[in-house]
Amino acid sequence: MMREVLKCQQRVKKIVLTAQDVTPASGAEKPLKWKQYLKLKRRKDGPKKIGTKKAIGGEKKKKKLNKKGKKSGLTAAQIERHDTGASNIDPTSMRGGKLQVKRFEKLKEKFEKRVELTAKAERRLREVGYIAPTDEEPSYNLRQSQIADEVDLASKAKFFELKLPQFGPYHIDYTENGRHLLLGGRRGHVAALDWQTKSLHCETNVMETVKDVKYLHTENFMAVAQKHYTYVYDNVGTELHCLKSLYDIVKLEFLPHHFLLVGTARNSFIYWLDVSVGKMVMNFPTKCGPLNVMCKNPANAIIHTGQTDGTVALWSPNAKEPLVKMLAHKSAIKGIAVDEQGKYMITTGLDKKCRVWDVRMYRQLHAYAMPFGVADVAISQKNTIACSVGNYVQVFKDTTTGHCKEPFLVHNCGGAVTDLKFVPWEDVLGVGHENGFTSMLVPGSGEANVDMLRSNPYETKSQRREREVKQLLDKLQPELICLDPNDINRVNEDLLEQEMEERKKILYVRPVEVQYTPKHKMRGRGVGTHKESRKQVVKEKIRVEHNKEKEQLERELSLRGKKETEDDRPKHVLDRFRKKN
Amino acid sequence: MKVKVISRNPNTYQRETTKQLHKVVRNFNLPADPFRAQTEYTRALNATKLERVFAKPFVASLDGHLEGVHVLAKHPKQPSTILSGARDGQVKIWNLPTRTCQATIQAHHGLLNGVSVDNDAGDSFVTVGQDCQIKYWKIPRNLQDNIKQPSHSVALTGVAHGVSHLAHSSDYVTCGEDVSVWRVNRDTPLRAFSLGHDTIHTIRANPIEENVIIGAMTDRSIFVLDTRQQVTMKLRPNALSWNPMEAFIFTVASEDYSLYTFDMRYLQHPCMAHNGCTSAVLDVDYSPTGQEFVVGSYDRSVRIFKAREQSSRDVYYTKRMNTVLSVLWSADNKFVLSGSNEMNVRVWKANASEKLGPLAKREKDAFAYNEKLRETYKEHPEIRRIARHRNVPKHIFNAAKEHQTIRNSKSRKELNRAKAEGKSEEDIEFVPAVKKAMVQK
Repeated sequence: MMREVLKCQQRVKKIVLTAQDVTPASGAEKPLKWKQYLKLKRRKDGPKKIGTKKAIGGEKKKKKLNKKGKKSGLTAAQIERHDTGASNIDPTSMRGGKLQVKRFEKLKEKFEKRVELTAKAERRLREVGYIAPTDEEPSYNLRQSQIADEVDLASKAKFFELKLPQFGPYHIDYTENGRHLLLGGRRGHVAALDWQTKSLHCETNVMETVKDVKYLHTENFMAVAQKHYTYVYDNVGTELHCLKSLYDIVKLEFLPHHFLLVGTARNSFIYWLDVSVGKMVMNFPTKCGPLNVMCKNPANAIIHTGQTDGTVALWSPNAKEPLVKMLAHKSAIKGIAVDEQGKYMITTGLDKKCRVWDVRMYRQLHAYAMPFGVADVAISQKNTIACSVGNYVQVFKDTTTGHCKEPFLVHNCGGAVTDLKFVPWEDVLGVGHENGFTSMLVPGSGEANVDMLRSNPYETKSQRREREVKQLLDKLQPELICLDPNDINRVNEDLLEQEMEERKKILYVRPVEVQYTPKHKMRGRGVGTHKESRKQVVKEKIRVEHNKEKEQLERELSLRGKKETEDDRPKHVLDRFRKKN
Repeated sequence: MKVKVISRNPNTYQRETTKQLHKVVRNFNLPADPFRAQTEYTRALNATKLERVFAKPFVASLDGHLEGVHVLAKHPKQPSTILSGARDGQVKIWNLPTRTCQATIQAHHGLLNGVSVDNDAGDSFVTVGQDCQIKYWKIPRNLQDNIKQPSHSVALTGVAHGVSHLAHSSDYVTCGEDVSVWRVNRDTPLRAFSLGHDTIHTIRANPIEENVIIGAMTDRSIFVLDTRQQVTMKLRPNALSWNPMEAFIFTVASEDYSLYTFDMRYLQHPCMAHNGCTSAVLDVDYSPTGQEFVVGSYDRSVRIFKAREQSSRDVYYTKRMNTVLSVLWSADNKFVLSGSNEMNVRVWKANASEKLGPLAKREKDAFAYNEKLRETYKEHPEIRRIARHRNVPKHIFNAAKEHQTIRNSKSRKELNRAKAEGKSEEDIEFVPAVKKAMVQK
């Protein structure tokens, strides 16, 4: 019985929180002054910069100890970490002649190779991109051109600017594999390109205001929120659909597992449109004002919206009320982003704060003071955060751990920044701004090791087609969207208990014992059959009433989940005049 | 200054020529996909739906008999050979892969009561008929030359109602007024066991133990011959079948619409009851793996049960199929045969949605994966509903509903009766269904 009723229904959870400022007393609240910074540096004299002469010299000594390590670029310490006894094998001590000695030599070689491979793999997984300045200069003083000069040619080409001042400001989007870039200028310019090879797929002017752009599951479909309606174009810019139901959309989001295009409108409506069958899954007014700030939680497909009153609301298509509502800032929210694992949520507000939240506990972890004008925010695969501050983009590292003291990089775009997106699997941040588009290098922001079965940046046409079919086969139903996607593997104990209670109500209810003594009447009517028949009538009445009640209860139990709605009733001609609720 | 950024060489990710396979670079260090459970659930749901879509169990119909087919027997050595016996005394030997009749023998005058193939060499079979004869037939190498005469026949004083070969032997047992063990080419039985005055109408020799025989008598009792234990059921058992893998377990098809699985070592009451048939159960046969058995019922349907489950796994029927008199599970575990009253032998797939024929490796893997998913998520309400749902003919549907009502009212009546006797709810003794089927001693 326990396993029978499972967690299928969405549980509506309501948590209202007030924001607590838990910023550490020193440091993060105010930006450091230059003198303070130098002092801090001197005092720490902390970890040696990689690439300095001293460090290299130290390594060399160790390398000499290990011949193999030198060849593979591994230090002895790195190898020793994974050595489970291979170096202790002494083949010369083997008895049984030359043959045995040779056998053990080979065996030792095999073990050593295995250790080396493990150490290599570990190094590959641990190493992330970095900037190691030669002098004491902080990294945020570096210009993008300086960084680009230091890297290889292929990476240098990833830093570029598109100067398109007449159509800006720009909204941007990358495909799931980070290969293709979609640009949408406010004044109607829509362009799609492979940003790595810089080959243009299409470029059109839709002759209307463009409010947001979004790639659907492949680079062949792009949704563009225009002045009135939302349109879907293909990779050469042909208009495929005009989605009139998505009206006055300001922000678009796409849920690739569910094939849902989510749009939030200026009139506080939120829409979920199934793009695989073209059906509106759900739409309702959130009554939260214009929904300019919105993002998805990639880990559970919940939509986060930020309101002008400083609250963040979590929406699913299965409940018309927010699943969670939390007060994140004491002023309007300007930007919101959730990391790939669904652990951290970053919000920025008009109160010049950037806050890091634990989305699973709905608790603030860290808060950072920002300059005035902070608006949009983005988070990368390695939890690097980018904030737009007026014309500037500021990039922060280690914000989720609370160690952030200063920006990692700062870049001036020359115009107000409107949109920020990190590229998956790359150390690149795309910035859409008033003067066009900038692709800037942010070392250490992307995951270096690609899992090609998840998303493949080198996808061919045939692979894309195959992926599309598989994705459609594995499409998740919108009913499954809930706060914890693993709920499906658990028993819904609340529902089970509730059901048991209701079943008990029906099955173990006893027929009512009607206690009724008729009033004594005169003239022979108060005795015998007269009295008895009157008594029976009253008893019957009570019994019928009770039975009706029981039937009603039973019907409810059997019909639970599919309540009779208006659609179930036969339609009448005059129904169209009925008042809609 | 030193800067390190991600820089990839496309050659490690892309194939060189279109003839090559695509390269796949994996990163097992990434956190697990958060939608894994939901994706698997969706796949399981799709697999269950597909299983129902592809459930086309009917394979072939073997026609040629002139009367209802009420005896089916398989060849112990050749999985492709099946013997069927009709009510007019005719025996046909079928080849399953080619679906052809290889030989037709007019074995008896009148009703044919049983057919059993030699367990030792497999080159002969024995038939018993209503005409008080035991006939011993040789199966020729070349079945083209018709078999006219039995190589040996024995005239009996009474009717033999069933025949079954002993394990690993050419000896066989017949039942009727008594149980007799026969050897080939002898006119008198080796041994005879008298079990009272009642007729023994069916008998099955244990497939492993040579000396253990089960049978059922007209006084509704089941006997195991070696141990001489005897139990009595409330209604007549129609047929018996040994579990070939666990040869101490046998299943009895009963007149009371149910089947009962007994453990030979504990015969007080069955260890399990199998419900689902809406009319008398006429025949039962185990699969060679002993995991499942097939059942033929008077309600014109064939049901397949898992050996350890109460309700049936699947139900097969066609418009034209009449009362199922005999069933058989083929020796390769893939097919189920049913002989019915309207003179046809039908071949069904044992697993309704199974794809016949050779499978590619990827196909095989996909089927195995789907199977596992269905197994994992089988208790989810939506999946369970789809997997269990069967469209059945109206008469079966209505009968099942009626039986449910009858059962409910019976139990209510029992409760009321106990209450009227003044017993409290705690005092009422719970009698399991398996015990209710037995005559209490």
